[in-house]
Amino acid sequence: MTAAQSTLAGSARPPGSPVLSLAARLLRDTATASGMDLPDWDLAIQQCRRAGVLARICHRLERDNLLDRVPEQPARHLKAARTLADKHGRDVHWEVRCIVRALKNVDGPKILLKGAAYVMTDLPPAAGRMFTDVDLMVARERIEQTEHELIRHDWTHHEVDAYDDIYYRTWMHQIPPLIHRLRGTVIDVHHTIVPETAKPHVNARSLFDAAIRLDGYDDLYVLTPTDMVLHSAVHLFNEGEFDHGLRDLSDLDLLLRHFGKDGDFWAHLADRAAELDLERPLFYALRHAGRVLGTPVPQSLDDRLQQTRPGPSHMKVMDALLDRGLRPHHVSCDDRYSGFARWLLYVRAHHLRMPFHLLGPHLIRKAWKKRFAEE
Amino acid sequence: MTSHAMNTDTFARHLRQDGMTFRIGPFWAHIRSALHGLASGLHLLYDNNPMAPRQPFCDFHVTITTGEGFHRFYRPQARFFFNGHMPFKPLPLDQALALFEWGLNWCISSNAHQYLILHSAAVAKDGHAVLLPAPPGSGKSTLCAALIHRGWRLLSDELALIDLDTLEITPLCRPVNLKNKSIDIIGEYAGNAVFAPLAKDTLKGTIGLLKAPADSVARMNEKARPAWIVFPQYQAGAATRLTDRSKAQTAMEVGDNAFNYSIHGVRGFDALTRLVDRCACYDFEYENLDEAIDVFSGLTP
Amino acid sequence: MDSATKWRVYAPSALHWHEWDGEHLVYNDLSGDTHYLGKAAACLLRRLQDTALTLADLVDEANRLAPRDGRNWTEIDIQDMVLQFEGFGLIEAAAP
Repeated sequence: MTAAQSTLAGSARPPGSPVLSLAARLLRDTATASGMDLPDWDLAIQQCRRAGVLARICHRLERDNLLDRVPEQPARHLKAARTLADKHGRDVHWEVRCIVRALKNVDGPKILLKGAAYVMTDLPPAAGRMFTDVDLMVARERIEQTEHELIRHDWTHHEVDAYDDIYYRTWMHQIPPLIHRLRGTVIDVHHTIVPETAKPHVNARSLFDAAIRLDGYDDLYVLTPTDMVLHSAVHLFNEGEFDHGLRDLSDLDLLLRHFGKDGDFWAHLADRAAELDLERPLFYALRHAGRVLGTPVPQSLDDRLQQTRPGPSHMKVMDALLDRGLRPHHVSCDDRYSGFARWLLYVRAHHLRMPFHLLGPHLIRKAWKKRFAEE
Repeated sequence: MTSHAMNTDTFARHLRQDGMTFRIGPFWAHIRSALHGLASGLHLLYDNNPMAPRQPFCDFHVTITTGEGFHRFYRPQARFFFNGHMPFKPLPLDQALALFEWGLNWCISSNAHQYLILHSAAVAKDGHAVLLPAPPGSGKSTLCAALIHRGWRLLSDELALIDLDTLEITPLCRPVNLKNKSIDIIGEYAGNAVFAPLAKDTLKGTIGLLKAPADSVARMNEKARPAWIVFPQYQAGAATRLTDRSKAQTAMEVGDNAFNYSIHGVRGFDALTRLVDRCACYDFEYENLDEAIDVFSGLTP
Repeated sequence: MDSATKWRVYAPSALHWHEWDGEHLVYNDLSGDTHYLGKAAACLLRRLQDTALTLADLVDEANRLAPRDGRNWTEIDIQDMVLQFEGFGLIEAAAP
């Protein structure tokens, strides 16, 4: 692909371990950078841009005092991406303020999810993260009022067709995304973290009960550390969106390393996963964060999750699919099965989200729409 | 090396196989395409630019392909890929060159945040630059094309790359994008103007890409210091007129039309206000190009 | 609008100013927006950066700092300005 050949791109690896992209190796260990020449960087910048981790890598290299040693040409791209991501971070703060003001008449807790929660609590995944929307969770009985207040404060529905609207409201765990008329920002309002029809049956009430209030706000909350990790895991491994799979896996890695410094965290995580019926996604999260990013997981937790481990042949298939899904979607990381693997992950996610008799018509409808959208 | 040393067929073969790398202003772009019409257009427009089949690092990797499936034959298309991703919809095949120009502008304006990127033409003389920010239809490109054939050096037609600290403009030196009547006007005005084959019936009418002057390309590494901001307005029947303009409103307008002003936060505000501070700001109405050039010759920093 | 409401700049340190001949730009680092302000608006926003003021206070300040030829600033003029400032997130009602 590139004009000159990267020498690091296909180096030796232990048997059974996945092929690691340069992007993954930089996330795993910033010291990788010191062994990279210009052709390696040429490839790495492309992979990182595609995976949405350029700015994150810039922040991490800077933290480790390695940024100054990156050659000037790639360093410019790293810093430019960081400039953009820093702007996203400032915008999230402002957006949260605007949302809080708009929802001041909606009683009860409002819980920030995912990226916005990382930014507002200054967790490690916040640095260099890009945003397309803010995710907010409110109690199911508040969802209509929330939608109403947002619309009253200049948010409006994207143009969605009637089918998508029904799909969102009936089968998903959210209303269709709302976009702000002036700022162009998008908010996704949820009332739980997995769809109603989905296989894991998560008790949303218990997420609200445990949530932590943010300093300086009356009723703005974030999930507890364990729930944050579990939400991140179920989002990545059950939703079938792998466009930023590596970025999302890196979020998990950073959260686990950060929260894991507290010795009790791991036992709580296992208990909570069992309670919320999220052991399987947690298993995949820990397994693949470990495989790709070297996330350290205590043996005790590994042992506890053994019962949830799929059988050996199932596991082999899932490894093959997820190893591919979690690479940057860049031609340098693809093999002949990559496209098929992504498609299977997508179908799997829909299967987890909807009963099979509903799934067939939905996928057909989606393919049909896509076909005509291109005309 | 430049592609002077390479005939069109050799150039096209490279472009089709591993791609070619071009030096475009401060960037190296790697372009791959099997479209023969595109190859001859690029060869014509960029043969003064440094280029090579290989480069250890490229800023932008671009691929331009034909449409898929029945679009190979029926209403053939050109598709632009940046980094394996298609940021905009395909265009008819005969607009491949224009698609490349827009596409590369998009790559630069949405990624090169080491600069404050203004939506503006820029030309320079003796190291002092005029910025010509203006909405489409104002005659910005026509004026820019006229100036570069009367002693001004082309820095850029669309994107002015401003250093956030020194405020210097880094030349990009891409072809000038002329539309409709302007193509004939400049064709007559500058006897030595070189155009790529015209793309007709685009959304913006007929598009003619005017080759950047060889001297401007040769001096691509020479930055220039902004001294004037002039908002041109082509007006049929208008007398040539240069009038002072409010600095605060100039800053607002330049900021509004910049590609990445808001990304830079307070640093962008600081750069924008210093830029407007140091420049004389004018509105400029014109019809007659010779008179317009005279007015520009009279500008003193 | 409650006449007892006192207004103040939401985050005084986030505002950055630049002036040319009585025309002002103010950049709000929280919203990322840049605003163009005439003389009266700039004077009032600067006052609200230092202290919380009611609508009536603001009318007085406008007439003192940026008097108009012919006719005085009225509550209606200034109320419009206050609502705009609030809409942009530049100011907020101070806690009573």
